[in-house]
Amino acid sequence: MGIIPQIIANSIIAGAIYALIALGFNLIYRTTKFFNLAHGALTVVGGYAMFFLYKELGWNVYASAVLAIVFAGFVGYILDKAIFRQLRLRKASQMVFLVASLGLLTVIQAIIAILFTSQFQTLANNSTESRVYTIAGGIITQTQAIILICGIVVLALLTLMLKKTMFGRAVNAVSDDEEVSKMVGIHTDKIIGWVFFIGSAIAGLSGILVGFDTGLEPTMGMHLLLKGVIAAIIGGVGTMHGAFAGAFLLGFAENFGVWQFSGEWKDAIAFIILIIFLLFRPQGIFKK
Amino acid sequence: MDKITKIIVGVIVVVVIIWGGYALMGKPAAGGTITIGFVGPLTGDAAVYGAEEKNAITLALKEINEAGGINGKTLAVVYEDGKCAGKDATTAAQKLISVDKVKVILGGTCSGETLAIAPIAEQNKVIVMSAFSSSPDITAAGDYIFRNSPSDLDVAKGYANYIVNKKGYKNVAILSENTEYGVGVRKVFVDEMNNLGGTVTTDEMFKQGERDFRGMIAKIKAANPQAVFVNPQAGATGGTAIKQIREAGITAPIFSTYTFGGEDGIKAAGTAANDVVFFDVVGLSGEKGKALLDKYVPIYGNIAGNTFDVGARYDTVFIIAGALKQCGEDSECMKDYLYAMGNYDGVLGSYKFDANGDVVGIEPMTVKIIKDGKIEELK
Repeated sequence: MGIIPQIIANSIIAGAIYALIALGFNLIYRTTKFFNLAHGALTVVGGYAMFFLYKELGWNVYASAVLAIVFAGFVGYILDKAIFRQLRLRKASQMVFLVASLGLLTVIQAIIAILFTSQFQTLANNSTESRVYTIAGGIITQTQAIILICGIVVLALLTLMLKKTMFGRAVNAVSDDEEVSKMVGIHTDKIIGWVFFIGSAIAGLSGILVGFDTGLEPTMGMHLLLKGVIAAIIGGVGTMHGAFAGAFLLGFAENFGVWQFSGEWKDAIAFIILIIFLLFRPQGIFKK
Repeated sequence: MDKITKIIVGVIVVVVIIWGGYALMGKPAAGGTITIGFVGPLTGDAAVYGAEEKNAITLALKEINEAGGINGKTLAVVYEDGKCAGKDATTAAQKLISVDKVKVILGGTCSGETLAIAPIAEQNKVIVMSAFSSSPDITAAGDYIFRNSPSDLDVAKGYANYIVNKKGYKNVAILSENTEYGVGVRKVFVDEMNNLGGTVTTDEMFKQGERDFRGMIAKIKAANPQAVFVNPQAGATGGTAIKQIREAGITAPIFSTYTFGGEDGIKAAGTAANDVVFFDVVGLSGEKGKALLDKYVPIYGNIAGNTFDVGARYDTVFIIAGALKQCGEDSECMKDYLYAMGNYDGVLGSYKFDANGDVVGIEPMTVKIIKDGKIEELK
């Protein structure tokens, strides 16, 4: 059996995870114009909320997932109201936002580590074997199929929301110009709060899926975030389909790199691609 | 004579009398005693190992002396604290060599101690016999330096040997974590595979803490190995890798090391952990080993440090006693004796020393298998 189908399958799976992170990150970025590093922490919040409800309390998987996603969204919403909104009111610089979000990432990871220990956890029900599908010679697990479906659904819903709904138009307006939006009567703080909620909920969903696929650690947020950010940048910061395309490009580059070179090169390949894009096509694949 | 002079003379007289008396009383005893030294951590974090080695020595000494000692002489040990540090071990060894005139040092416990003692011992032709130092550097530490603790290198050779010779898998893939330990094991494993006529079908390394092994696993699968050797630094990486190996549909047997075989690793691997064989450090599972534990535990309680260490140290006292019986305190003769003594049948099993003073013949590991999330010893 050839190796190519499996490499392609792996690339798609990796791409789907990066896409979910990049979509949430991008949604917040295009609206607020700052690099929200705390986004990584919200994957951890979602993952561990799921761990608590599903594994420790033994709740139903769907109920746990919904609640964990809402909880992650809610934490994001609170972070906006309690911290980022205050910074906006003070007209803080981009740098202040960046540092504040980095601080939040660190604090949230530390709190999670205190509550749940730094030990590696997994959400998967490991007492039964995971279901596996073979598609054109490539194997993917049930969890991975769900990740892929989630990625596509989230992209579709986000695109629909932004293009077709009043709320989406308001988000676009705030993204284009917050001040003008305010003048025409859009309640920008409310819109941004909702954007944080939705973006963070997507991050929470990613965290849950990663928890099922590979496992949870309090420090996993930074790693996931970096890949999501790279995907967003190479895809074209601010565009939803760009983030999606960037994520899959990254997934393919990494996996084909691992195939051609060696496993240790995976992260290096991701950053080399980032640098190439920054040098030669800083606007990304799709220009906003 | 004034008062002060009287006091001084008085003190001198007392000292001379005590010294003389000590010498007179000591002399006949010295004729009947052979003193050897011990260096190991008796204080500090590693003290548990030093203390347990001391217990093992005490047990062995009692048995040797009750059975007639060394050709009628009593064997005695002077204990010095090496504190698991090269500096303190050096001081301790110098004291033992120059003050106690020992020809044998049992120690050190930590590799750092043994490596620090080695040059001094070489210079003074003093036998060093470690029971717990596993650093590969000790192999080349000198002619007088012996140990019955397998080198980290030998342990990894043992992995390859088990997989190729005992299991008959010639085509093996290796997946290693890129850490000092992982890289060290990988190098030895791959070299040994080649020596044994095996083939390393895929030799992949992943960065520390990696969670996505699928690309590497696809390569492993494409090469279709008979077995996969997972060489991680920790349970989380090892377990996740093993889970993904099984998910990828690789059904070949998986081997791993004690770095995987803990609670974390089994949790991360889930059902994929089933039937994974891993190499744990050796214990005292043999008949003689169990007999030692039966003697040791009632006196000193359960072993908190390391059972291998206790057994290895216990054996060394008997090995040294054998050398002393043959050679007296002629350390050059003892050295040659140790190199040529052939197999020693001790609590660790049957083993001897190679030309580097490293141990040969100890199964450097206990082979274990995971069944339904439980660890079982594999016979």
